[in-house]
Amino acid sequence: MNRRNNFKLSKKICLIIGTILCVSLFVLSLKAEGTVKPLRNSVSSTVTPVQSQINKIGNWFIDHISFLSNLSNIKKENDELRIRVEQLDAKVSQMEKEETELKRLRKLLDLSEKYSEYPSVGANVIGRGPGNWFDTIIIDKGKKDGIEEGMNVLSGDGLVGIVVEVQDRSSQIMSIINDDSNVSAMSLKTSDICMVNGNEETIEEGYIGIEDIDRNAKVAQGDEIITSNISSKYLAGLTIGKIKDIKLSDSKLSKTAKLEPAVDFKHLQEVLIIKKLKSDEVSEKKETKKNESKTESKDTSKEEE
Amino acid sequence: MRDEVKKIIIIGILIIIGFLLQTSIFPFFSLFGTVPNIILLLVVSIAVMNGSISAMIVGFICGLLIDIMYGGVLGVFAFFYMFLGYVNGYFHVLFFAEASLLPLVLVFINDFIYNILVYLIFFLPQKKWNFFFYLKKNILPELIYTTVISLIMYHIFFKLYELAKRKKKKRRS
Repeated sequence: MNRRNNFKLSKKICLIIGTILCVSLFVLSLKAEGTVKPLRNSVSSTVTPVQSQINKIGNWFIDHISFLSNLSNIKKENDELRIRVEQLDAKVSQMEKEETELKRLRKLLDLSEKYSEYPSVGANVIGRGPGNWFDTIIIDKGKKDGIEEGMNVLSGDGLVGIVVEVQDRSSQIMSIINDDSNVSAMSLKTSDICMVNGNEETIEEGYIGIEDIDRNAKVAQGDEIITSNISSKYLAGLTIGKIKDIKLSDSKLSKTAKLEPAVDFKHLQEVLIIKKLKSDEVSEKKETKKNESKTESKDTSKEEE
Repeated sequence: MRDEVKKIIIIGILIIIGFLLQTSIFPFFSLFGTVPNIILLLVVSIAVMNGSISAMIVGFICGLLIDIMYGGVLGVFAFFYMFLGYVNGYFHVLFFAEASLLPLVLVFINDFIYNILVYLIFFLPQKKWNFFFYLKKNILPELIYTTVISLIMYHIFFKLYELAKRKKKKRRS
């Protein structure tokens, strides 16, 4: 009898100790994020390598299973692809000619900084958050690979999101479909500025929201939406998606629309991180302008001499 | 003393297995876009097999790992899972060897309560009133998947637990 009482008591003491621990951790991480950071770093740097290995094995299996089940189709596909390669080769050589011309023209227009020329690094998606509720994306590159907070993340087809937290060997991405995400954007054709708001409810039906389109804007269904040059976080000219169902908003002061993202967020495996921050770019431009004016003034002074 | 060490090792192994299953293995087997809640399953299984205290330790560590890896604030999920371990420990008295009906029912009820709490704590304050959307998208699929998976996973956890026990007996004899 006595023993049992003791056992029950120690259970409750355990609960109380644990609760105090939880509350103190809660307060500590709210009040002093700095003290928690090393802890996060050390845990994620031990767990991430294991996760990325498991991920590699899993992807290998998925690839090979689909390979075996498709074996009969592969020969046919191979023949088709050979023909396609020849066609594309011809196209590439033609395109190369056009590209040099394009570069020349872009320089004339001072648009040489297109995002294909930004330094970038590839990364694998190794985690999608712990359960079904929170849609965060974890990648296997971190501070040691030169990733910084605020870098833009792309996938083959368009903008995925932005790096929000960096550990030594991994980082977290907030995707543009996240409820908290707002991206300043514009239409490629008409340059009308608008706001792309993430929405995890409507993405289930394949779209997110666009707001604040000027009511007189001439955007049309199917127009491509890209990041705007006035955004403080996103580099200009990255593809976001295509516009759909434009409507006058309830207040009738602006238009709202649906946006189909260019990226397939459900099947994200590899992403591309642009190693250039928008904030850097802005400050760099200012500096170069200053330098230019300096050199100009030097030149003029030399000439005077 | 040796038995205690063995117990700690087994619990440590179970924590690692549970955490890795949850975060990197089961995402490959997601059904209807959801992943089963392995950590909840693990905490409930241990609570039923071994009582409150070990379940609380496992719940606390797993929850803390999730807080550290994915959450903003520490302590939230640690407390969630620890409390689950504490409450479910009371069903340890009903534990009869390999009968898996008890854990099955417990996992179902716990997962339902857990998901409702997550909605109330994290999503309602953000003015997400559309509860039925989340019920359809997250809660029901996870509930079904977790309960079905618990049939298999409980047996695996049980075998591991038996293994530890059997070795203990051999030592003693």
